[in-house]
Amino acid sequence: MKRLYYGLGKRKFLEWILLAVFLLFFYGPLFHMLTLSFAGDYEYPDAVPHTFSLKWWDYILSKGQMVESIGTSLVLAIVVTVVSLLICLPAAYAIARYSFKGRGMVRLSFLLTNAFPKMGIYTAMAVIFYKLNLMGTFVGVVLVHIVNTMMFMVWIPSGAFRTVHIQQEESARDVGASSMRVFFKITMPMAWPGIVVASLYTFLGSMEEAQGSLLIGLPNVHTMPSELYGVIMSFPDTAGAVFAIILLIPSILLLIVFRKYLSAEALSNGFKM
Amino acid sequence: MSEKLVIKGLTKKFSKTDGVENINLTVKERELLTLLGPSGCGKTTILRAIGGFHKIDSGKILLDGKEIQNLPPEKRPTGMVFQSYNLWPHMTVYENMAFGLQIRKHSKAQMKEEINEMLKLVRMDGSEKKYPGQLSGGQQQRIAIARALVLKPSLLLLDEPFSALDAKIRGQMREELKRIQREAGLTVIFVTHDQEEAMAISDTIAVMRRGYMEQIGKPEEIYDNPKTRFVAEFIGEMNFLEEGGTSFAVRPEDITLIKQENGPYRILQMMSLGHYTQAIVVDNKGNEVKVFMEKDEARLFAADDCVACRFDRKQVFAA
Repeated sequence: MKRLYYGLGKRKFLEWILLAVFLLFFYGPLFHMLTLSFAGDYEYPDAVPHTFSLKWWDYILSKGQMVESIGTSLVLAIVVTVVSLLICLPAAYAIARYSFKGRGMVRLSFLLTNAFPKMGIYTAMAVIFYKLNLMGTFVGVVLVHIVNTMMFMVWIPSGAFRTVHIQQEESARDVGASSMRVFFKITMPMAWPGIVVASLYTFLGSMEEAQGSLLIGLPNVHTMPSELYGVIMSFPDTAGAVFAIILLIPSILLLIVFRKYLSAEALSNGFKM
Repeated sequence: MSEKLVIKGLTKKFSKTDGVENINLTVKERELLTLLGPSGCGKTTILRAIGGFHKIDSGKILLDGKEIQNLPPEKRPTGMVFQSYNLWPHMTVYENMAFGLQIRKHSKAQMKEEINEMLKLVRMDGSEKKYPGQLSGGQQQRIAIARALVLKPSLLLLDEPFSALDAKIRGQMREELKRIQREAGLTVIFVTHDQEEAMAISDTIAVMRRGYMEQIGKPEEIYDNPKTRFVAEFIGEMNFLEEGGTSFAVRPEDITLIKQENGPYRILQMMSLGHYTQAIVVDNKGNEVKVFMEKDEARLFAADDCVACRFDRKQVFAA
């Protein structure tokens, strides 16, 4: 240790220590989870399992309801993303392009859903959903998720639409394109990075949403995060670790595929008032 | 020459004071007409109304004898080029040019030929595969003009297309535009606030002010015989003077300086502007007068000389 300290110099040495702490802090839990998921023989509070095996993977994958929840979550996330694109893109475009009375209020109203404690909104929604027979239905869960994602889906694409100059749309009208064609061939492609980022957030947000899914979806709709609650409560840590890793896979894959779109610029454009 | 575009009683108001009212204008076949005026005079409003980007309150716009005022922009046979941001950055030059042709369902081979021909006309052949971001501002405007022309518009509308470019390129583009107009036999409406530009390229100039036309005429006509004080001030340089209680205007090139000891004017400054010289003379009350003269003539004078002025051509305007 002494050799290292004097070899690197004080500054470098401290930097290395800081880096090590950081790595441990960020990747330690992840790594721990990964080792636990492949544990054969494990006793709490040990750091490393005594033996390794795939027995907890077998166990989780043999539970029908859990495997089903993986499918449910993926389908749900896709439906939520598509539906909120359909709802929010026109709204985002309107906010970006037209100045109308109360535009600021409309923009802020999308923030409101994120400003209140979630559980409060969910319970209020549950009361209404009971009357509409939406409790325990797939549609109900989709609606709950959209409430969460609306802010991203309106703000970020709206910022992206604003970077498209009005002349670029007008030129397209001028050479003979209808307003629909202008939107799909000119405006959308130019705003694409913002739309991709917003969709990504929506998809990932829907994948990990648990509270609303639990309250509205149970007992009929089981998503991965709501299942995870059950797994953690009633099974050993090792089973939870396996399930958590399965939940992580789609997120990591998406982040890798779309990383070039994940720029600070796309985000900050969305949050300019 | 037959009438290409006729505007009758066009009114477009944004508010009580903002907008244009009862505009009448005729543009002839193969004519380049410039709408000239300071910002906010309504010149762009008229151009956008012709292109279909403003819904007009009342009036008629006839292009080739057909009323177009109720058509959306995509149904009008006009081609518009804006000051900037004309091109779509996610498409190549070729794709930009092909966009309108595809909507008109031209065949691939035909499209290629037409695009090549147009790119040659604007001297941008070989740039088909480039993206707009790889082109200079002047080149982008050439492509924008080519993209409008490839659709064979009945009327070309240019909304200050060169004002975002630097002075030297702007001058080149003027000459280019004039050549293209001649070669392709185009009818063009050009909007600018730059009187020099308007003088250089126009067949006819319509000087606008606060939503109405002050004067319409050939450039030399407007320069030599401005109808109002506003036009006289806006086009070229003009001195406004008073002599014996009557006020009049005189162009700097219509003044001859005469060397005279104890003359009423004193030369404040001589400034060589290349092919001619500008002198500023001042009388005992401090009124400055601008005078243009030939280089040879300028050698006879120096700052602080006392001179008299001979006004060769005076003009008088009603208040």
